[in-house]
Amino acid sequence: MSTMKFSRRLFLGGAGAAIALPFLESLRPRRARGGAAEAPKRFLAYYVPCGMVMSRWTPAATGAAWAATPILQPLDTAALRPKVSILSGLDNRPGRSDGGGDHAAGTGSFLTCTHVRKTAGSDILNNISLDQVLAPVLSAGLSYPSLELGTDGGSSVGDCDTGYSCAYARSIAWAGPTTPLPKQTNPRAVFDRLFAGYDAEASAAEIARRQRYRTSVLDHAIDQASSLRTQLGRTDQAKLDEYLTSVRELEVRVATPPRVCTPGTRPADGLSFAARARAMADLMVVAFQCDLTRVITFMLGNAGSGATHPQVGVTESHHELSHHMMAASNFDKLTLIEQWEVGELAYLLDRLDTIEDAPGISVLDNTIVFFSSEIEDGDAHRHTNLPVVIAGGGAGTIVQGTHTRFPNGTPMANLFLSFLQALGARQARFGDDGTGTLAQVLA
Amino acid sequence: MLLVCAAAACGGDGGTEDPGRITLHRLNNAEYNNTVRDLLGTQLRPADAFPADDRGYGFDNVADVLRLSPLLVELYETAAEELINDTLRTTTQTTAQMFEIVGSTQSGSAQNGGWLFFSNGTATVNVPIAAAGQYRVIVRAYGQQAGPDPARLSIEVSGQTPVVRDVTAVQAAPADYEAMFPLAQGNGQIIVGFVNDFYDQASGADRNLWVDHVIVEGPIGAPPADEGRRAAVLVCPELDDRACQTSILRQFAKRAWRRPPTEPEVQALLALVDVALGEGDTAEKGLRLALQAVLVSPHFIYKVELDPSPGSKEPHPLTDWELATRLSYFLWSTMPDAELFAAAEAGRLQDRDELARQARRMLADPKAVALTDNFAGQWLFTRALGDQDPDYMLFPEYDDALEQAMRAETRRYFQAFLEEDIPMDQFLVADFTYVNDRLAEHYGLPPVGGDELVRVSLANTPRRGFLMQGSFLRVTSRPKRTSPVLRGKWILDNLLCLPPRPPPPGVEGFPDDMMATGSIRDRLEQHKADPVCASCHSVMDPLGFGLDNFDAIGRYRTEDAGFAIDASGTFGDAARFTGPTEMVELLAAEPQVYRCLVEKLYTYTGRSPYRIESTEHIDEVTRRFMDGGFLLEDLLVDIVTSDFFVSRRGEP
Repeated sequence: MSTMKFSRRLFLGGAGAAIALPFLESLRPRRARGGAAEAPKRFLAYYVPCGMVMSRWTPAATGAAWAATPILQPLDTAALRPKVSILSGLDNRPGRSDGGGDHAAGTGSFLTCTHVRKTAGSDILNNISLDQVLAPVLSAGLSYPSLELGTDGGSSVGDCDTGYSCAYARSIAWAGPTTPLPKQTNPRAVFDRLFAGYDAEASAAEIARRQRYRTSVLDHAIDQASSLRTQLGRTDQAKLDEYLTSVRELEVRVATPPRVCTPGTRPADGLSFAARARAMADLMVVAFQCDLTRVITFMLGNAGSGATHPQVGVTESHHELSHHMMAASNFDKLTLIEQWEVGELAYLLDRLDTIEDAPGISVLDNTIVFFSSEIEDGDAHRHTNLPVVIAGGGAGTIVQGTHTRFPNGTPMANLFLSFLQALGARQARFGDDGTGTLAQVLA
Repeated sequence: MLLVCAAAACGGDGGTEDPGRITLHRLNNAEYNNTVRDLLGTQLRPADAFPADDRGYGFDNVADVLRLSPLLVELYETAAEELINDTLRTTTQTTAQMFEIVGSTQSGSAQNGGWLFFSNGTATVNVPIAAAGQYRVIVRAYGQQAGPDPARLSIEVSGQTPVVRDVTAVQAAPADYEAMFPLAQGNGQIIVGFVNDFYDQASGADRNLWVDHVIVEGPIGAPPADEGRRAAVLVCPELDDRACQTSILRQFAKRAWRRPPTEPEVQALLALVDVALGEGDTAEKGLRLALQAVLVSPHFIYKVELDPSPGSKEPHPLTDWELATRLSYFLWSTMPDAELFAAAEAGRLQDRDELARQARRMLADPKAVALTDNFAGQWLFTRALGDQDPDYMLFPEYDDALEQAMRAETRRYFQAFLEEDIPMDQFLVADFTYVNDRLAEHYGLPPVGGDELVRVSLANTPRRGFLMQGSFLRVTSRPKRTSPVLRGKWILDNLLCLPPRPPPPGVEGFPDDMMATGSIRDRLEQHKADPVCASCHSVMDPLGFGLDNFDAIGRYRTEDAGFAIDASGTFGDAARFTGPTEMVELLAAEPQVYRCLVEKLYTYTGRSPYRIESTEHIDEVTRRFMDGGFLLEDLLVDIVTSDFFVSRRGEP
């Protein structure tokens, strides 16, 4: 493993001569529950659409000696095997739909384990997602509570999944029951948001002044909105509250001191789907590396994605293929797509594993990565026995390196409760059907 | 006929109707970009980096559906700063500075008003740089020549590769030697050096280098600031003067918020100027801060409409300013122009005739292309063209040029109905279209003489109207084949406003395997066999089959995978058609098609369909549209001059 090198320093989120701290210095200490300096714990959710061909996904044997199946091939390396686990048999029954829209319903519940309200209109209803429960705990004091990233904004015409709002299809992160968090899908725009520095030579006084300026502008916005609110009816007030909440949250973040970091190269514009996926992985790595946030969600496509995959020679729509009708040729093509998806995950994990948090401990070791899809088999649209990979050690709290099969009816929400406990945010219930943690997962 | 007017009130002019309301309506991405373009004259398009707009009911500008998140507010804040800095950017002057050169006495000495290097050495010159950019560094020098080579001068900027120049000039005629370097803002350093000292003891030949001064010129080629754009915002030059500041902020806020600011609002903006002054910064910095705040304000982000009594259902007219905003965003997807603002200022928009006059003026303006981009682009799915490519093995001839031509064709076609008073009852059946050579070849038409679109007759061809245009046929197909279900569904959703219910679980999709057990029609027979499926598919599938003569990239065909195309079917209860032309004629004769267009346009004003409180109003507008000759411009004018558009009410 190599320690991160500083070749060019850029100051983030505003100016900052401040302090040329070595990386580890700038990391300490994030006290989650008050105590000695702890390892930085992180969470990353990686969503892929349209399920998996389970016969080519699920390893036959459980335990540490699981034999890699075609789709899981990219994880079958000496470096990654000890750090990933395959989980079989977890159900997300709240992800079922009420007729049509299975992909959107499954996606909406992907990190909430909540049965979303079926509506194509504006009266959406879900629940807070796992990453958003973790964000204030893990990313306290950092520049961003969380980052929501993806490869596709979504179609610019029509509706998304029959009977279900596009909000369910395009977001896995939910700040609350009615607030999906939109994602950025342009790697260059993400880079600019995170790394557009101002004056690398600015003094601490100048940084502080800039923060005061930003705060003044945001205070002005809050004053105007508060005044406007008194003149509005209830529906309009609810709309304006989205604005007020967002500005207030931004104002809190403005006060966060900027970080020192080496961002790497600015991505090109107009990238293909596959190139965007790769560029986003690089950005996720840098975001963790620079400790901009400790919670990231990523969608490799939206619910029921119809993307073609020319990079592996598949020209059909993914969604259409996933309704395979048990045809072998469809299974073969789906396997190519799904293997590619796992390959992108492997790339991300490898990169996270080559960055040190501390001597002998990688970023991946301190992270929990959750990889799954909104449904199991793409044709049957089942929400049981979902394909799940978890990676990273969660700072020594998560069992790694095995294939575990859970008994029938084990809810995904219990996996999430296990994550919450491991990452220092223990709670008793999660979603519609979370009852407790899974002993097999916790170290 | 499938359906006649929905309500019994069809054909009568209803009494007072509930105009309903549009929820607090934020700018969507296209509107944001257009608005800053018109407000500031900028080329920047900040909304291209915003997350995708929230969609609902077929459009991306429905007020109830559009949401605001912390990410978006952060991007608004960043964009505001970038936009104001871009607008107020001052001209970067290209300057030239001259510096004398003094080196180390170990390698040289002062001589003849310059510096003579008698051995290899360097001299460093500190150069303050006001603006980053490319700079030209010119060193005046001569050599005391000796030996086989000329004296060599190196010019270096710290951190970059040195440039070496042969100095062939001699004392009698010193010359200038130059190199170009990028320099950052701040204190730069130029290092001038002598690199090839030569001394032959035997002959006494001694090579030395004399340098005089260095001139640093630049930044070369920096774009000049647009003084016009800066002056349009900073309307008076005395930026330190409070009256000038007030004038600047009042005028900017009035345009940006689309109505005059109140005195307290102006004072609050001036307070931001004071924040900067209190920090010891300039008045201009303070004004920039205040101008940014104008663009972050909810009065910019939202198209605010107020009710005198927010809890009352009593209808009341919009103010002139609110009306101007609704009108310009509906027809132009951008802020009002000076003329519309002037009409609002003078209170003239309360007069329906004036409102109609403004609407017609705006529809004749080039900005009305927004209706083609944003309304037609979403209604007709033209925007989706290019989202998914057809299979390149099966359709090798489908390329960017063809796709662009298809997009241009449908756009030009829609514009013809908007601009040339062609009745909309021709939209599905017209015997003309617009093609260039590429598209003409694709359609089997004679060439038209180039890349430009030319209007051609479809008289002796099987094509008629929109549903047989490449853009529609492509976006309602799969990568490898047509999809009669997708095409039929589109017709139900977007022409008839009768969306089918979702399918039962587990039956989506269709084997992509081309090893058929019959034609596509045979394989979809299952839809009719099962009554659960048949309820929708018996209506939907025939419409798609009616267009199956057109393949997945819009070419005409009479057979598919060896099976003859059977494009016959029924429409609605009983009307039969034998092919696409008859089918579209049946559709064009169906009043529900025109009622649906009216509903779509109302949704496009930002209303959720459930907020169209009065279906009678929709019926009346439809009737006037049909009776008046199906003219799209007239329909738009009717919509914007109706009570629905010019008034609103609160909600209890």
